[in-house]
Amino acid sequence: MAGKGSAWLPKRRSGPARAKLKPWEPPEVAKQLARDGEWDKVRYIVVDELHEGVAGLVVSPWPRLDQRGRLVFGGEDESRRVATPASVLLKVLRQTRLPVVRKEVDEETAEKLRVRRLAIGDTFAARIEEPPGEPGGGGPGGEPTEDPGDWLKEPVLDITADALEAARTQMSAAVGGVFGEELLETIGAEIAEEDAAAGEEEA
Amino acid sequence: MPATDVDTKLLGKTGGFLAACRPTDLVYFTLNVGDGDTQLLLLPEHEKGKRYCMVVDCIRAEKLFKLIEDLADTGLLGEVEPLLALVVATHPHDDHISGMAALLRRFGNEHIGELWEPGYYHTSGAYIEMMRELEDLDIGHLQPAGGTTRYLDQVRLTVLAPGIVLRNKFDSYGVNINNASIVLKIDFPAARILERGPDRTLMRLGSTQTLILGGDAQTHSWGQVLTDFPQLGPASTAVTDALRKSGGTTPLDAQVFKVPHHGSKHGLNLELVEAIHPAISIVSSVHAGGKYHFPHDVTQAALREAIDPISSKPEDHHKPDPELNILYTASREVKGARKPTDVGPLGTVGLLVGTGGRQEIWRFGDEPTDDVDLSKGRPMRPEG
Repeated sequence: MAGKGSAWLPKRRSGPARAKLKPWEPPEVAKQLARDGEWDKVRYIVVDELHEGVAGLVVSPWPRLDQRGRLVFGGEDESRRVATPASVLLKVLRQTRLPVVRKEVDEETAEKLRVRRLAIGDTFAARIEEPPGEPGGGGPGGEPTEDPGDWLKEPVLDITADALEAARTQMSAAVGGVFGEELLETIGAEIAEEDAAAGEEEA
Repeated sequence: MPATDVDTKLLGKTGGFLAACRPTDLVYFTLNVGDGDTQLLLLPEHEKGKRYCMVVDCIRAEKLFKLIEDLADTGLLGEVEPLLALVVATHPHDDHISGMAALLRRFGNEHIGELWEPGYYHTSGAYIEMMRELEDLDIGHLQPAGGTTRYLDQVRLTVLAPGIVLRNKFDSYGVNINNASIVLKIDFPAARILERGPDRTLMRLGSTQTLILGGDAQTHSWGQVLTDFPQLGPASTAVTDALRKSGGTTPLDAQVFKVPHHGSKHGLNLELVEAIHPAISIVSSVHAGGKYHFPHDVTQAALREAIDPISSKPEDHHKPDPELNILYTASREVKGARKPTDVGPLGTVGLLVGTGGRQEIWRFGDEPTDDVDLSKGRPMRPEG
């Protein structure tokens, strides 16, 4: 309990109430993992670190969307940290990985996406009954003995492309702000005006 | 006895930490949070009873909150706005920023002056949460690169890394996320002008102290730091002496070195530590291995050899780490030389860095999941 001397400090503030928010629903994830609407069983899994054959994973609740369309994951205690041998994880992924990309790709590219090696930032969606690992901030202290085959079941959607887009969008919004439709119309009008002027010059 | 452990004989009696903090001290805490980083710096008082603070990385936010509350309750942190003049998220790994969203949300516009982060975006929930909270704030924000300099009253901050070449490669898979780390050099006191009425004098301060906080930067990043911040010896000639010029610069010399990446073998090499030549080195990691087995033996060997060189004298042995002031948040206190028995964790490191060159080391005996109890602080007095 804080004493009198710290009364001037701002109070703790809780984050958005996730339970009241709608889930983020990328179409392929909805189709493959949440047809029954049970988004609470879907997890968001990130390769956070790769070090000497050990993959450090962060397993988070499936994100929800706030009123402004921003992803909400919850506090640091709601995610779990798992260490696993990278080779074992890759072996499991070879059996279970389903890459999700927005553009059409040929079969060869699709296969390369399915078996590509791990990279920090790779992100997966999977349905997990009991999330593994330790809750709380920071890395796990234990040996990297978790076998992802015990808890990572088919299908595991490789949503790295969508996750990177989401991260980049959030960074850009945070550092550069967002614009509304009014400004979009103004920008559109200016572009149209410049295009017209360029067309006249060419003519 | 493991090299990270400390004999009871090197520890003083419990108590007296608050009384030992002088108004002119910079107070630096490396919290024991396990395999991860949370650092709190209390800058020297800028007016009686008032200090600004810096936070460098934040996990286990509740532990940091409780420490800040206790520091305010004891009067070491008087009411000031913004309390956190600068918050730095060195890089977006979960073990450095998982508590950052909670920190931004709690201290908000009124109590955070600026947030620095490297501009390396990451897909993790912790990163996206942090940036969503930042979007809701109206505070200063910077994505600094090597060479950025900022003064906070008597403290000068210089960003050593990421160098601009690394910075310009972020939007690719070409830069390891660890090498995105913001590495900070903190010089104190930076104020050099003595004013007496209408007279001003440029002081040559012999006692400036420097801290280098290494984030998780790896040797790729440090290689560029060594190029960008060359050590230049003085050119002492009659002319340069007469002009009071060319005193040389040793920008990487530091009294305190927060060892990069929890003691990973990729976090440093011998030349780097020789350039820094720290009086005190601090490693933040878990005890007994952890998932990556930090700190690595080769890192410890490089630290020891740079501080206490014996390679050319093979019959010699390094002094124990505590005597070389190589400190680990994971250290255990042990009693007895022949059959050492475990007394308990040494935990959070508190450093008092004085204007006159003084450094005092304090330990708080906390496990990663414990709060820091300021009344349990014990001074550590290295022998030899």
